[in-house]
Amino acid sequence: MNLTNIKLSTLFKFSPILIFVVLACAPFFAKAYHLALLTSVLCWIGLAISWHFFSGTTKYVSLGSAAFFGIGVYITAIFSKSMPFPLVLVLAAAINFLFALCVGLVTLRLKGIYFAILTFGLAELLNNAILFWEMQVTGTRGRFVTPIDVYYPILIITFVIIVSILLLRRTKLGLGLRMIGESEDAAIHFGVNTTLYKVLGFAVSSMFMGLLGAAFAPRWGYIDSGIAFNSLYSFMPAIMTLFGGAGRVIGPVVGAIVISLLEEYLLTTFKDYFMIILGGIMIIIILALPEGLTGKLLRKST
Amino acid sequence: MIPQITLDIIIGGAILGAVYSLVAVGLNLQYGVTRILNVAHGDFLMIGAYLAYFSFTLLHLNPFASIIIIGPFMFLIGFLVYTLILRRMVKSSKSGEELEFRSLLLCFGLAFVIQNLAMVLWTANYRGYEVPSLGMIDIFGVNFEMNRVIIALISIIINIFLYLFLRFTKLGVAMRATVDQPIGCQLVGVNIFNLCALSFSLGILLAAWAGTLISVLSPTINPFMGSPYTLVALVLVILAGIGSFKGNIAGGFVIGYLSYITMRVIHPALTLVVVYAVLILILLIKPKGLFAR
Repeated sequence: MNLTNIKLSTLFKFSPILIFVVLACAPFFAKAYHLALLTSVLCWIGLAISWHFFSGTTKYVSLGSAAFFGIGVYITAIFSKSMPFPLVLVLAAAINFLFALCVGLVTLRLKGIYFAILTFGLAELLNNAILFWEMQVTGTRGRFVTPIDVYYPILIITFVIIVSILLLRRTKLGLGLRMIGESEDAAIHFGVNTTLYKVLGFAVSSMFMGLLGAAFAPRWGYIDSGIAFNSLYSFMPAIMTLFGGAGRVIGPVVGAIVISLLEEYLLTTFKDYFMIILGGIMIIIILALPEGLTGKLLRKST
Repeated sequence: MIPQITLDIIIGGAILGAVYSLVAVGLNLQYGVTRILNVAHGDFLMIGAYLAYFSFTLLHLNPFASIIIIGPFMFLIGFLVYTLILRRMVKSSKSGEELEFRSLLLCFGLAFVIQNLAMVLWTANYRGYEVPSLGMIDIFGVNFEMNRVIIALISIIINIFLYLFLRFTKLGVAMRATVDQPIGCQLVGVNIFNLCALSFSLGILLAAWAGTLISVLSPTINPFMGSPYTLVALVLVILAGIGSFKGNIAGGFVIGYLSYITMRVIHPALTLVVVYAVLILILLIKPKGLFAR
């Protein structure tokens, strides 16, 4: 038992580096289609793991991921012509962090379903507001983004997110968030400044989402508010985490890989009925796997 | 001129408010009793609108008549959805929090299925139908379409009947009691599974009725018309306080007036934005909702 634990942990320590090296070489041997697919899978992994960092651990379910992802997309669309790409990414991260701080200060006083509804409305609100702005003020719909290959930006950002979340889990912030998830009252009694931790955790998680949105935007070439603030970006990370299993970092990663590949398969095989089947699969996942895939597998193995 | 537009706002806002309170009351009842936050609420509303459209174009039934058939039909659909899908989840959830979270995601999946099924079955085209007009009605010098006024009246009548049902029938009292004390209710012998199934189906019925009425009000319907109404209903549930019937009506009028004023004075496209901004402001002052007990 002890021996396998050590082996597993050393494997876990080195496997990310190995995977990163393999993925970094992917453009030299993979086909364009597979590379594009890999890009979206990586993006979903990043989103799911960022969502899990805050909502999965604290159980404050945010359905506003699309809001932060969309802001990132729009920042790239607006500034990519006048600024170098890395600077745009930094700007997107900073703006999302600050915006999420404000949103968190307002909404994190609310528990449970109220928080979920408010964050869900946030994406819709931004969608509507930007649509209005574009139609009334600038008189356009959507924007063009200079298309570039985003494989490396997404790969690097996703790995940075994974590594920083693994490191953050051991810090006071990460432990505080986990304690809030177990019992917020107990955390308050232990002297944890829960408001500060919640708002900070939410801002960090949202910053990552915005970063991914900003890096992913050039893939589309053309974006509008409906694409950027699609409610799929709010719900999918949650469903992926639920599928993979909350509580461990590996859960959302597995969930994101399986579900995004499944989505791609369905899209290419059943074009017209793809959305219906995907919705049906979501329902089945939620009914059949209350503790997630990894939860089930780990329980079986012990 | 000024009193003209004031009157227009007073009456137009009231009409919208009556309809909104009907849109939200089903969701509020569902969530209050079953703890399932049905984010597919607006999509059941959309089905109601389509049923009214088809019974008008194919069977030549006036929506004010077909509403009588649509209600029980959708009640049945709601009952099937609850017993076939949601009941399993209720049984396998360990805590109330877990149930709320999972039901939210499950209903999103449901919304996804319904919207896209509707698109495949009925195409994404915008459809509209002209209900025979009953002429205009003159209210203090402002002209209103008679149909609009009738719709507002029907919404209010449905709300009154629902109030009487919740207040005076045994079933209604059990529902209200479950909102306050779910465990206590089980202890005194309420079959909570059946009660939840009935409340959920009743919520679907109310959503479909709201959809039928809205199909008369709005010029066109389409498979994706539901989402804004889901949002309005969610906002109203927060504003009213969960399980608060009176709060729901009052909140409906608040949102109704707010939307109508935004539409008439600022811009129709900004309605949701303003409603949402006001919601945030209210929650800052009263985190448990404007009319929470």
